[in-house]
Amino acid sequence: MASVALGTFGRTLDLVDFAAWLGRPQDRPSLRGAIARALGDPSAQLLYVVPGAAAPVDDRGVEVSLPERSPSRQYVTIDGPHGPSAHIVYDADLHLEPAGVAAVGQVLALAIDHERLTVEVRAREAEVRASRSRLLEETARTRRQVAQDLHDGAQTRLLLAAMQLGQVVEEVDAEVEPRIRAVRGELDAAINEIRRIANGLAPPLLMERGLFAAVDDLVDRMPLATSKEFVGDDGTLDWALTVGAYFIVNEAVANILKHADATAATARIVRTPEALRIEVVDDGRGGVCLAAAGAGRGLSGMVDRAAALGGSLTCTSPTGKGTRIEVELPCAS
Amino acid sequence: MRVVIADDESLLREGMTLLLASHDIDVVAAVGDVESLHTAVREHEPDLVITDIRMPPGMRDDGLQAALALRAQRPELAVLVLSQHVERRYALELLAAGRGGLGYLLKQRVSDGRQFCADLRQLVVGGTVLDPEVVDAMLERGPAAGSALQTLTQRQRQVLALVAEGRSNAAIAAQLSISEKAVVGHVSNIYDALDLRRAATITGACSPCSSSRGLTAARGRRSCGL
Repeated sequence: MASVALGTFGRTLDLVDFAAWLGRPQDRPSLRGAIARALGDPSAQLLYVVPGAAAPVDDRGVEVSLPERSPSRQYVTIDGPHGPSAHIVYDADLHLEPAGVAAVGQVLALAIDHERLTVEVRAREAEVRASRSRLLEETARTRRQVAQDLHDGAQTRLLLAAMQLGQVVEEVDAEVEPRIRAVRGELDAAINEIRRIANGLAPPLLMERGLFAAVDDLVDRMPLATSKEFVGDDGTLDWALTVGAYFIVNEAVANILKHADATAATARIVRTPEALRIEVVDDGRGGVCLAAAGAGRGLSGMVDRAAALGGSLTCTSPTGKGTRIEVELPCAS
Repeated sequence: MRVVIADDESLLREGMTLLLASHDIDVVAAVGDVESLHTAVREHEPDLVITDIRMPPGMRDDGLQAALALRAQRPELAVLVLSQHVERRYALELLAAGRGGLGYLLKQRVSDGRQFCADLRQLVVGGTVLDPEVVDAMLERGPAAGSALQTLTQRQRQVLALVAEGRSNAAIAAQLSISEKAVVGHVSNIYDALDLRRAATITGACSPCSSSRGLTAARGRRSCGL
């Protein structure tokens, strides 16, 4: 088979190289590169067929549409064990015969199919990541909207009812008055309850002043000496990122109070055009382990939040030497 | 008393206008955004501005910023901010804006029309009106190093807790078995410790022999004639 390939486009295909390539499954360069070299066509593309995807995907798992066939641009489809597994797109001006290209493809069919499965997993991963981040954004937006609706709708209605009742109280007989006051007490309780729910859905200071102000307030309420630093501009952060970052700091601070036995802490947030970096550091007992089963919901919740925002969290916590939580969240500038 | 009301919810504006009118308070303008508020104040020169905090155009803390700006331009203007939630730092910023004539209440306090209007009258004569929840929030700061609250004595904390509950000076004195004069002394020291003095001075009204505007005046709840 290799001799067929060699015979057809002996120009560049080096059988020794090719064999060496096949023999290095762990760290070999891309299959596309190998095919490009074999065909002597640097522009050659290898697009994998992924079931369920609207278009084939490249080796990063990104969907790429198949080009229109033209005198200069052609492709052949390679069959794998489970049906079509990939397309080789090539430069027809290099006088390559489709049959020859297909032959190279067939030589590599198993390797292609293996690679295709890897790419498919990668594509699925990317899809899951994207859908998780869409869900997170949608959730944050919805929670904010519900909080706003409660504020504008139910709470305002109850306020109006309480006001009207307040007017009535001034006009009724003394014996009815205590009963009306009792009703007003209930309305007051309902208003407080709605406020509590709305504040939990979207912290008001976060909505009205932004991330830095809300974290500043959080830190100010710490019953422990806590210094803080904010760098950059938090005005252009989108809402999902703002809320996510706030709750990460909130959780980190809560963990310090609950578990760290610390005497001092620091919170630092730096906004650059590319990323939001959060550091929460304490001087407590340390020994927090991300991987440990007992890491607790708090810490794993922070890791989940960071990952859902496309970022990462690292935790450095040598026993007896405090804990440092560092989070990096990408943000569009 | 001439009042300008700013709230983006028109039903609340109307309700409040009616409420104030029924207590012989003259609402000279009721507006729905911050720009109209500035215009109305220029035009009507009211004694008091009542403004919601979250308001157009920004729907952030626009109302509070407008209140602070108006107050800076017109130190004699009394200002009451209303909100559906309480923020400690808003209270501190407001109290730092001048001496007296400043208030911060939860919106639902308008349901007690008589008390609310009594609070407004306090404001225009230079009183300070704080919601009990605002006082609670100001006390929420933990005993971090450097926190003013850490410096309060046990007795001062007791007094402050009772003030926040809305007890009158006399009731606090009775409960703690101390004289009313001692209560006033404690309150004075508390405000010193919390650094509220630059925001508001404790007037003679706080002395035990003055009945009209004690620390816990009116309903004895939240109006502090600081």
